[in-house]
Amino acid sequence: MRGSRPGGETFWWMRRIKDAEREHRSVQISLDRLIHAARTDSQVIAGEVEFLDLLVARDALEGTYIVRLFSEFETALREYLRFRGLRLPASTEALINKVRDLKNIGSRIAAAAHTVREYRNALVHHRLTTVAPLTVITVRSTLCRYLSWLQHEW
Amino acid sequence: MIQLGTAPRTFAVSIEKIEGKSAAFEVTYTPVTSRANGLTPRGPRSSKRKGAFVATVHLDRAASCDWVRSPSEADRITLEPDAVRRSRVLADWFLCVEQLVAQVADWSGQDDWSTRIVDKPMFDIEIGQYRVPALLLQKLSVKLFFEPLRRVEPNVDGAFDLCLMPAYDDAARISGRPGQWHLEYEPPEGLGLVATASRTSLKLTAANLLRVLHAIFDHAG
Repeated sequence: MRGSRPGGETFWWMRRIKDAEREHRSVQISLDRLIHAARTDSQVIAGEVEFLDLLVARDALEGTYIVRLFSEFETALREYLRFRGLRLPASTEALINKVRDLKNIGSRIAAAAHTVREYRNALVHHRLTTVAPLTVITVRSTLCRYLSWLQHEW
Repeated sequence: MIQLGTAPRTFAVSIEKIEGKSAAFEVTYTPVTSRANGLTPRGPRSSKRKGAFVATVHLDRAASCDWVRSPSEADRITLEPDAVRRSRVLADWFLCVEQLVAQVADWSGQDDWSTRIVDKPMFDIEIGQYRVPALLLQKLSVKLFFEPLRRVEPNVDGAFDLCLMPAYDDAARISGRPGQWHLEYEPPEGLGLVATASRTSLKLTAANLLRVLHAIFDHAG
């Protein structure tokens, strides 16, 4: 039985992930332009925010959105297991593996999802020196590919 | 979201085009509670909850407004013009989306792309929550999703993305306004399109759309 949302539940979650990626792009461009403007005219941000804070925000932006994209993905997997009436695993690693096993998702696709999970963990726990960086585009692509395996059922 | 009166009442607003009627819309005002989940009803259907006020707006009948479930007289004075305004904004955008989606479906069908129209839920501060048509395209193993992105951008009236599925990779963008649509595409090497920059902007015609679809198919297939 398919979900009740237009186009199916899976597609709804894939669109949420894509929308977050688009939002990131818009915010990134806006922030870059504000930084550029503030370099030549500090009055642009006078009294509103410190220039240094803008740089910090820009450096953190991609990671912030990756955490958000992964959060959408994780929620989608939990919703899927609820839809199936199955118990939710305690860890995200087990969650990805459980859905992988249920849907026979290819090992390369599941491994890529784990790479994103590990990167998300590194972002959240400030262990960025231990993992290779990922971009929002790569993360969106990886997570949508994984979710697409649920599309025929959910 | 709309606030009313001196003691503000806040509503989440959703709006649906009534099927089979070209200029009729159902506008639902759902009172928002203090609970967090009341602030974000998930879609037009789910917002038909207890306590919601529902108006049917007929734009072809001097913008008349019939209430399925009516608010107080004081609220109606504010809500009726609001419902009509939202319906007018959506009517223009819906027509624009409907026509472009039909055009893309028609042209792509000429090159053996099979198509299926699906609903896309959207939110717009001036309209509320609503749904418009989007298009799934498939040729052999290559799947694309053609979706409206937003109603207004600076200097354009609408933007649509053509994405390669299932990864949801950006493949092309159509933006502009009815009669003046432009197709932007970043061609892989050797496509043969005349490019003035790395990103090609073409007038939207059947020939150009099919060339771009062909290039995407070759690139992805």
